[in-house]
Parts: sequence; C-alpha cells; structure tokens
Amino acid sequence: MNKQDNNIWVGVEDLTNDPQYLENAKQEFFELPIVDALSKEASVIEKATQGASRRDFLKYAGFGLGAATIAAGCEMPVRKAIPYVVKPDAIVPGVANYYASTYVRGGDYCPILVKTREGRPIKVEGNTLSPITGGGTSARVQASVLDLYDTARLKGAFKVAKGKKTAATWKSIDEEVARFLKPGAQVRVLTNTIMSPSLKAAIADFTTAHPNTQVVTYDPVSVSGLLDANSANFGQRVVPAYHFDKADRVVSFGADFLGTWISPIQYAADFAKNRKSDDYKTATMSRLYQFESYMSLTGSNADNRILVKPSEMGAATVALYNAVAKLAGQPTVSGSKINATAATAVASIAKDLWANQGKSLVISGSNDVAEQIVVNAINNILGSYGATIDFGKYSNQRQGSDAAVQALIKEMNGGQVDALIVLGDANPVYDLPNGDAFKAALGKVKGFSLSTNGMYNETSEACSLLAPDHNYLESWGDVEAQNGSYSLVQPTINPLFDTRSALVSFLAWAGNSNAYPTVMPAANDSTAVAAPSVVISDRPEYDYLVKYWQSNVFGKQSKFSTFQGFWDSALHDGIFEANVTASVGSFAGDVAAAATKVSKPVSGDALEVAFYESINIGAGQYANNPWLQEMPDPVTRHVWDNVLCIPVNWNGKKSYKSLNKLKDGDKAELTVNGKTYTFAVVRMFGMKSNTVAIALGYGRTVDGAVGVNTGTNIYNALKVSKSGTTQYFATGATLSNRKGEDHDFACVQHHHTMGLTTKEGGKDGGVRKADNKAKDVPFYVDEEILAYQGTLVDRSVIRTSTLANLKDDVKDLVDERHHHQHLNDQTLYPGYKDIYKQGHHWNLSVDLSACIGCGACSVACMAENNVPVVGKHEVSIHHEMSWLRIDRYYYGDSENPNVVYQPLMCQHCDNAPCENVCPVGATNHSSEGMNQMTYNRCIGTRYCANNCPYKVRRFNWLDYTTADIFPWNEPTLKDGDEQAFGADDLTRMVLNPDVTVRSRGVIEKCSFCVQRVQEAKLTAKVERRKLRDGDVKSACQTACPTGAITFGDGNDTNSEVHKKMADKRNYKVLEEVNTAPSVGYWMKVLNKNSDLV
Amino acid sequence: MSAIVAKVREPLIEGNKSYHDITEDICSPTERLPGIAWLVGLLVSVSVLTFGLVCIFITIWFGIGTWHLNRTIGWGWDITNFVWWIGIGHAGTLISAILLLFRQRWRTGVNRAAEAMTIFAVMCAGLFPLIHMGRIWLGFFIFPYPNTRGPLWVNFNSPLLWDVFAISTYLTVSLLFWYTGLVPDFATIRDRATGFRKKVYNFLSFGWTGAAKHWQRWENVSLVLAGLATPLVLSVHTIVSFDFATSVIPGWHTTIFPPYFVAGAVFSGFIQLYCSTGRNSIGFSAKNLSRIFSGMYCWCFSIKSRYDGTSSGGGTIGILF
Repeated sequence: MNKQDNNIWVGVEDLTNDPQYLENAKQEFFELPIVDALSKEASVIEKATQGASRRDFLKYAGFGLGAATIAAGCEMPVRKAIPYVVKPDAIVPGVANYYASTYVRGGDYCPILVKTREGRPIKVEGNTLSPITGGGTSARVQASVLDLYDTARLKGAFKVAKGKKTAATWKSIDEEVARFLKPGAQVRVLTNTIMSPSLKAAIADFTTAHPNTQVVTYDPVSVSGLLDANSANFGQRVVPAYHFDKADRVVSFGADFLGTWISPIQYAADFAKNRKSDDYKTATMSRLYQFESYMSLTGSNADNRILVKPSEMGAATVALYNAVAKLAGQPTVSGSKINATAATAVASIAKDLWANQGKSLVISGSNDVAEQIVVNAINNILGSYGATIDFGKYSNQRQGSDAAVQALIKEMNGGQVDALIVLGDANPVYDLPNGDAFKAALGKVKGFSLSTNGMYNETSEACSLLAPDHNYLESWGDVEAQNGSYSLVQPTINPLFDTRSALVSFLAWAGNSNAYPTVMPAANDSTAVAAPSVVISDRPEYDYLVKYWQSNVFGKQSKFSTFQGFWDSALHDGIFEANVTASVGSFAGDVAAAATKVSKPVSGDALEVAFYESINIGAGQYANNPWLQEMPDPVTRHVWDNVLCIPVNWNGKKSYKSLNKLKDGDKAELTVNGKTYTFAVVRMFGMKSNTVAIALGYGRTVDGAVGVNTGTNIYNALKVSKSGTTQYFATGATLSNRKGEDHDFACVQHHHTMGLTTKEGGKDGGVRKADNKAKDVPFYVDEEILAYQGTLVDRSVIRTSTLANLKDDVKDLVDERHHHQHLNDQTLYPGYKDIYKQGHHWNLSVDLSACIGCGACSVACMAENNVPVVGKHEVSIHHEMSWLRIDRYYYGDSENPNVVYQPLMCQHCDNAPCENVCPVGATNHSSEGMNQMTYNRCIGTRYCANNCPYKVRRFNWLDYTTADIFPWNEPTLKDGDEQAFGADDLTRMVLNPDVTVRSRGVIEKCSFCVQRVQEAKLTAKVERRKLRDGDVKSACQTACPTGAITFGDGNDTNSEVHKKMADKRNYKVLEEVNTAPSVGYWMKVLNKNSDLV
Repeated sequence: MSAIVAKVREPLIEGNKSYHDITEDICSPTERLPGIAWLVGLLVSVSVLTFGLVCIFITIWFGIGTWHLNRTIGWGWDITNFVWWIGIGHAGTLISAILLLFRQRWRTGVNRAAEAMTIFAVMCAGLFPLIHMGRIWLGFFIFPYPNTRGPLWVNFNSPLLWDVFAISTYLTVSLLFWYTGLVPDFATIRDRATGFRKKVYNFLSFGWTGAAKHWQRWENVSLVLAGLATPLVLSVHTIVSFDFATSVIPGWHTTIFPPYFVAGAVFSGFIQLYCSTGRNSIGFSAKNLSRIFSGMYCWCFSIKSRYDGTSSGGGTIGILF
C-alpha cells in the first residue's frame, strides 16, 4: 500500500480517484436516484392530496396559487402567553437562573449547571468546580435536557397486561405491590450501576423490611471482566482511578476511553491536559498506543494504532506482558502468536513503556477477566499503581456483574422469585445477549414485575406494573461517582407528569407509608390529593436525602460546623469532595494461569466481528433522543442508524474478493453466531482486514417514535464467554455480497466539500482512471494523481505535524501564511482592518491537537441555538441543519491512517463572500467582526450559501421548526411518523427564548452565540465595568471536555484567544481566498513513535 | 410584387402573390375560428401549464426542499431554467434586431415570432428566480422602493440585484420593440374589422394611418430600439453570468463566463426559434430559415467547443445549457 504522507482524504472514492466520484464531485449538484427520490417525496405530497380526485386536482392548483398570494398578507397564528399573576421571587423574565446539579444515568456522570429560563430548564453546562470533569461535558449530557420534554415519557403509573398498558393510580400500584410483598417474599431488584448513596440507603431500608431482597447490578455494555480481575488481584471489585494526565505513555487494548469507556469526559479532559502546550518550542506530549481492529474514537486520536483482530487482543496483551517482563528481568509466560506487524510493534512499545516507568498506563477494554489480570500485571511491573492508577479514589461508575444477571434468569426460571423490580434504565429484555430468555423468565416471576423506567421500553412491556421515576432534572438525589467525590442532583422544574421518585417508591414499599406518604398529588387520584395521611414535605425524597447527608456525609468534612452551612455550600457548588487517601493496592495474581485463559487468536481468514457501544446513543438508553440520533458518529459520520464498518481492503481467501465490490450504503447480510442481520455498510479506513465492526444500542423495538426501528439490534448476537462475562467480539462470521442499497443512507462526510479544484496541469482535468495493474488490489493510489478532496492539501484546510518535526513544520506554516498574506495585500479593494481593530473583535480558536471529535460541541450548539432536527431522509439528501459540523479527514498511511477532526462553524470572515451577494442585505457584518443573519429580511435565494467557501450556511428547505405561516406542511422525522419533531408544545419548551426559531425558507448559521455576547455586554454595563476575558463563552466552548475551543475578544491583547490567534501554530482555513476569517485553528500535532511507522 | 429583386436571388415570397394576397394571408387567421390543430395545440399547452401550476403549488406550499436541492450548491433547475430562458430570449432579439440593423429583408418572415418568443422567454425567466426563493411572499424586498424600514435599501453589490435590473430593462426594451413592430399590422386589422373589434384595434394601433410621416417615424423608432436591444443581448447575459463569475467558488470563479454565456444563449435560442416557427397549425410555413440556422449553429458551436476543452469551470456550468 502506498504511503500518502502529505495527502488528506475523506473516503475511499476520494483516495482512489474513483472516476465516477470525481465526475460527481465536479458537478456541484449531488445526484439522487430520481425514481427513489420521487417515491420518497410522494409521502409528503400524498398527505396533502390523499384521495384526491380530478376535481381536487384543479382545486388544489387554484387554491395553491391563491394561498401563496394571500399568504403574504396573512397574520401569524396567535399563540397566547399568560403572564404571572404572582411573580416568583427567583424568576426575572428574560434572565436565566443557573442551578448546580448532576447529570447521572447509569454509569454516565457529569456535574452540571442547569440553565433555566422562566422556570424551564433549557440548557446544560459543565460544572467547572468539579475536579473530575473540570467543566467538560459530552454529547449525551448536552442532549439530556431534551429527554425531559420527551412526549414518549410515561405520564403516570400504569398496569401492563399482555403488552398493553392501562393507566393506574399510584395507590393501586402500591396496593398491588403490597399484596405480593408478603413476609419472606423473594424480591429481586435489577438495576444498572447505582451511584446514589441515598438511593442505596433507601433500597437497604427496603431490604430491612423485606429481608429476602437481593440487588442484581449489571451494565448493558459491561466491564465485568475488569471488576472481577481487580477483585482477584487487589481484593477490591472496583474501577480504579486512572490518571491520564500523569501518564506520558498510554497503551490501550481496545478501550475507547475518549468515547464510551467508563468515564470518557473525565478521561478526555485528563488526556488532553498532557497533549497541550503553551509554547511549541518546548512542547511535550504524551503518546497513545491503541490496539484495535476498527477505528474507534480513541483509536482515531491515537499516535500509533496497532491493528489486531478482536480474537488476537488477548494474545497481544500477553505479548506485551512478556516483552515488558523480559526488560524487567521477570519470568515470561506462554502466549500465542500475533500478526507480524503487531509483534514488532509490541517490542518497541515495551521499550518505550519501560523507559517511562511510573509515567505509563496500560488499560484494556476487554471484558475478559484473564486479559484484565494480564494488564494489571503489566501495570504492576511498570509501577503504574500509585503513580497513574489509584485505588483510593476508585470509581463507582461501573459496578455490574454479568454473572449475577445470568444467575437471576436461572432463578426466575426456577420460580424462585416472587417479585422483580427493574430499576431505572435497566432494559434487560433489549440489551442482554439473551434478552429473549430474560423475557421468557420474566413471565415466571410469581408475584409482580415492576419497572421504574420513565419510558415505556422492551422490559416495561413484559412487566406487570410501571412506576415511572422522575427525569433527573425533576429529581432530588445524590451521586458518589468516585470514592469521596459527592455531587447533588437538584430539581430545576416541578415534575411534568404524575411520576414518583424511585427512592420514594422504595420507602413506600418498605412500609414507611406514614413517614413517607405513598401519595403524590396525582391528577387522576382525587382521593389521594384530598387526604394524604401525614405530609412532611411535598418532596419526601428531599427529606430523606438531607437526613442521609446529615448522618453520613456531613462528618466527612471539617470546614463547616453546622449542617445547614455544609448543605448550602454543597448545594450551591453541586459537588462536595471528601478527603480520600490514595491507595496503591498490592497486586497479587497468577499471570501465567491467566495467560493460558486469554482468548486464542483464530487462525486463518475467518471473519471476525467487533461490537462497540455507540458514542451517540450509548447502550440504547438514549435512542429516543433526536439530537443524539442526528449527531453524526464521529468516525463513520453517519446518522440515525448503526452501519456495519467494513475494511477498505479485504484480503486472504478468494471468498472475500467479491466483498471488495461493496460500497458505502450498500446493504449486506452479516451472519454471526447463527443469526443473520442486514446492515448498510460503510468502508472504514484503518480496519484490520477481514474484520467488521458494528455499534450496539440501535434497533429498539419499544420506545418513543424516534428510537423505534432506528437501526438494527445486535445485542442478541453477543455471547457469554466461558468465564461468565459477555464477550464483545465474535469469530466465524460471514458477510454476504451486496443485497440492495440503503436509499436513505445518511453519511454527512461528503456533504460539504471545501476542495473542489483539481491539481493543475493534469490531463482530463486532473482525473485519471485507475491503473490496470491495480486490478487485484481493491484500491490503488498513484502518487502522481492528486486526489480530489486530496487537493485539500493544496488549499489550507488541514495542517498537521508531529512533535519531532514541529519546529520545521511551524516554520513552513509561518512562511506559507506570509505568502498568502502578501498575495492578499495586493487586493484592489479597500479593507476595513482599521475599523475592526477598534472595540471588540470576536475570535474563536480551535486547537486541533486537543480536539478529539467527540461531538459535544455540535449537540451543545443545537441546544443553545434551537437548531432543528430533520430526520434521516432529510439528512440523506444533505439537508441537515447543524451549525457546527465536525469534519473528519484521514492522512498518512492509507492502510492505517491518522485522523484529524475539524470542528467547522461560520468563520465570520471580515471579507465575507456571503455578505456581498445577498440581494436584500439580509446578512451583514457587525462592527465587532460578527457575520450576522437577519432572518426576517432573508428571502431565501441561497446565494450566500453557494458563495460560502466553508459551506457552513444552512437553509431551511422545509418547515423543520413548525414556525411557518402555513401549518400542516412539516416533514416527518421518520417515515410513518404522524408528527414532525418539535411540533408539539412539550418539546418546544426546550427552545432557547433568546434565539429566534427560524421559519422555512431562510438561511441560518453559527452566530458566534451572539445572544451570549449581548448578555455579557449588558451585564458588564449594569456593573459599570469593562467586559473581561472569559465573560463570554460560546456554547461549543463550554461543552468541550478537552478545552479545545477558545472564544473571546481578539482585540484584547491580554485575552486567551488573542494569544492563541497570535501563536505560530495557528492558521486560518482557506486563507488564500482572502476571506479574513475570525476563526483560527492550531495545527494537529501527534507524538508518533518513529520506530513504528 | 413591386419591389425590385435581383434575379440571382431566390425570391422571398413564392407564388407570385399580390399585396392583397399577403394581407389576406396575414389577417385571415385573426378573423376566422381556429382550426383543430390549433385547438389541440392549446389543449396540450394548457394541460402542461396546469401541471406546472400544481408543481408550483407544491413548491410554495411545502418549500423548495421538495425539489431535493441540497449542498454545496443550493441552486438547481431553478437557476438553470432562468439562465436558459434568458438565453432563449436573446436569440429572438438577435434575429429581429440585428437583421433589422443589417437591412436583411427576409427578416420580416420571422421577426414577429422571434420578438414574441423573446417576451415570453423573459417572462418564464423571471418566474424561476421567484419560485426558487425560500419565501416568495417577501420577494418584493428585492426591489429598491422607498420604505419605512430605515429606509432599508437593497444590496447594490449583489449580482442578483444586477440581474433584477438587467432583466427588467431587457423586458422593457423587448416589449417596446415588439409592440412598435405590431402597430402597422394592428392598423391593417382595424381597417378590416367592425364593431367592438374595431374599437379595440383602433386603440391598439395608436391612430396609425399609414401616412409617410408615420412610416418614417416608425422606421426611426424601430432602428433606435434595435440599436438598444442588440447590446442588451450581450450585457444581459453577461450580467447573468456574473451570478457565477463574481463568486469565490472554484469552478464558478472564472472570466470566461460572460462570452460563454452569450454564445450559449444564442446557440440554444436559435434552436428554440427554429422549433417555435414551425407554424403550420396557422397556415404558415417557414422557408429559408434552415439555411440561416445552420450558419448560426456553426458559429456558436465553434465558440462553445473552444472553451469546453480547456476550461474545467466550463464543464461545471455546461449543465446550464
């Protein structure tokens, strides 16, 4: 395979100069299969013309023209707003209140500030006081506020029989529970990881009342192997604290710690700390080695990736152990052979690790106990314990046990369970490898089975009672995410529906009905409202929480002498850090025995499958969140589906040859563990040949309209390994040839091409057909041909470097920029530089080395700016609306490339090409350097979008927001949906009142969060002071877990952003076009191990 | 025929017709009921028009998104059609105006159809930028009219605004040119008509009596308008090409577009004229035209092909023709 060290590409066709692709790229009009497009569109049109006769045909035609003419004079529909009769003290209309709270869902955790406007939570920000996340968030955290306003939430208690649910009163639920909770009843509580000490205490209270209660904890995507290994080696069944910020060398065996593994926000923040440096001349960086078979988010950020098959992972772990042990003079163990490239790599990695003892860290994402024991042993030899790994401040974020839930199924089948309470997000029917078996066993529970999930899901459907919990934004609660790191969850809105805290439910069922009234004021239960026996507080869980903290947490500090003082402080900060002493842990384990138990590489060319947790929708619990569904997967860049990642290059047996014909968007059948699934495929660079990868979490069958039938559920293809843990890979799979095409295949990578020129001088416009001699090779790169998107390298879009070459590359960059600036100075037109030097000039800087591509910023932008969701079909025809997109480019070795992510928003050019061309002057420049959109002046000629070199302007093609003057013309989110997303009043509560909701037919784009700038300026004015650096933070900046984005006043020479823009690593995209952008990028720097190239 | 025609030339009108015969030929279609062929033609046209209206309804009701336009270029058949129709119009102007300036007598056989085609083509051209707008009901924002919003003016830097002025100027001149040519013919029909019909044509013919002074002034006005219309052909399509040529987009940002557009316009317009002057349904037959068209075809084709080969940008915009 040819090396393309200087080239950048985005996909296969691009790299191989596929003639059809180049031809298409040359046409600026993206071609759709016309027949299909018409049949799709028919669904929209049919609605209006359903059952239309010939007479109607003329009627519609006449009415249409009439309506269009009259519409200009029509008034907008009147929507009444009711003012407060008695204004609450805390609420000033138009002024946001922020409350410290905590986002918690299963093992996902993030301390947050909740922004509320007029009593509605509308946005989530990271809590910068937290030592764990440092103010970072993730896409899931950002999107969580939308779950509060989900129309599919259960609106009260229900009873379920034969898959049909009927509304019930809370009283009747409690009575039903009490009926079966006889003394001695065998109760099982099935839950995902619980990090709330008070909820655990409530369950303990319940257990006291019903002594035969057992809590079974499992995680849908499990790290059981890691926990069990630590239990065996250290006597602590916990996830230790990993200090990525202290690790100069990190080796990860398939752990996607920047994307999904255990605590990605924290790990990403810590990891980035060791990758950034203020001065490029003295820059130091950590180095990340990633062993994996597919391109994970972490792998795409790694300095060196080592490709191994999933089944080779165990052997690779042992190989590294042996290499390190040899250097340490310790006995080696027997291991299997791994592929030659990886074997060579392991040797030099071991050397590198050994040279960095005490500053290195080895982790594994494997769920196999034996592999984790070997990893523990490596860390032990390297002296990581006490240095980069700490058992004192261990994490509570994963506690599940795969064996326990399997044992539960046996118990239920044996008729030994009287009652099953499924807590929170636990959805075993969907997300267990043997979900069907669980469902069958559920039918054998003698008494009742109850789910407290706030949504109706696969497991709820099989239960008999539904006692929905509050959304976390409506709840009181606490979290101890790590040993001694407490945070509080406080409600920011009254419960929207007749739901009840799970904690209160447990107390009620424990028989505490007097102290903790079972009755919440329920709309459908008039007697309950009339006569609650004893009311202590309208929020019993609050009383319980306070009592718990008073007796258990208050004593862990000495700062406050009164509990009230302590409580107020903790509630204000949202967090409380107790002093915890670090614990090295003493390793005791039999590596030799473990080494024999690790997975054996499957020889030959059998197809292997890697299963991974989706970055967007997790293990499936986030499936009904349209913001997350519409966020492109960072690596594959597809939306609304799980696509099968296949290698670009198949080799080996003849049977794989035909698979080379598979193209992005083709459908193919994957047979794994005896089951067959149909997936759309996407060719992914950097995949080990003859392996495929597929995301878990899709294909929900019982969920809200958004989550249902989105993608394919593949949990039931998983297997439980011999050691009793779920195994996240499979061997011996087969993949069929092309079986049709996914017509709505929605992959956004090619939607915004910025490099439309061919290299000059080439015949046929630079396009050449692939060489004949490359017949047997699926793709072939002729170095003389410069690929289409690859010519991006000739335009200043992406700049990369390595730590070793940094000084030279910086010099080249400075020279190149001088050249561009010199050319730009020759312009005939007058500039306005002098004007922009006065007052504020807003700038934004992105550090490409720190950006990991996680997508938190793009979801934060959607939340902040009311960006509409358009659905899969609309995305497939390039109609997505995201103001901030993250482009993914490959560079380097085409077989195992590096990846650079580039968040691209409006560049706010001082010579903006869009402003010139608008015939009505709807977009113009502010004196502070902002490129502004005036929505109500826009008539929708789209000329500005055409003329934007960065392709960041978005057009409201259809009525995505239901803000149109014509009703009933919204596109549906998915085929078969009755209503467009966001058309209902509940979902619209999430809208940010500071940002206009755009109607159909207008252009929109990133505004640099002008509403935040304005708010900060007004605040400064009221306080009679100058605006300070840091007063204004854009939504993307606050969301970023790694601090890659900086926003501020570039004219303020002391500001952070000014320093960043003045740094020599900084460059501007397409500077040669002389658009004078206000956004700067720092070149992507890697710290490659040159021995491994 | 009293006019003196060189013997070596093929006569323009065959059949040894007198002036009276020609007047009869021209006026009689307006004085009798249309034939079956004409009615069938009308029916077909109205059906297609109705289909077009339904499509426009869908576009306006649901939004331009129903066209499946997308990124990175938000334009498609809307602007393609706009450019194409303008081009069609140009051929009509060229035919009648340039041939008048060059005193080509055979021009009279086709000039009326050519000028009418120009006007309808410009109207079609105006339609597409309107319906391609996201919010057509606010389309009046594009005109610089005094208003109470500041006043808020249009952006005179925008090539789209130049389009507005270019097209409206072109429409005005074409309309005048067309109507001026019609005046003597209206008078002829008026002289033959009776009753209400006579009154209408009386008004339309502006009191034309056929006096020598009338003819002299008529000739002068026709020449002036033809002189105005001819450079417009170049300037209007040049300005249309500025929509693309003045942008910063690779493939669009190229200096060849103005001549390229003009050549392409004339090229496609002549073919349209060739098609639309097959007027058998009202009893005329086109003669001598194929000779003219083949000459024009060769000329345009040579210009077009010259740039196809060398300009990569030309290929991009080639779809417009």
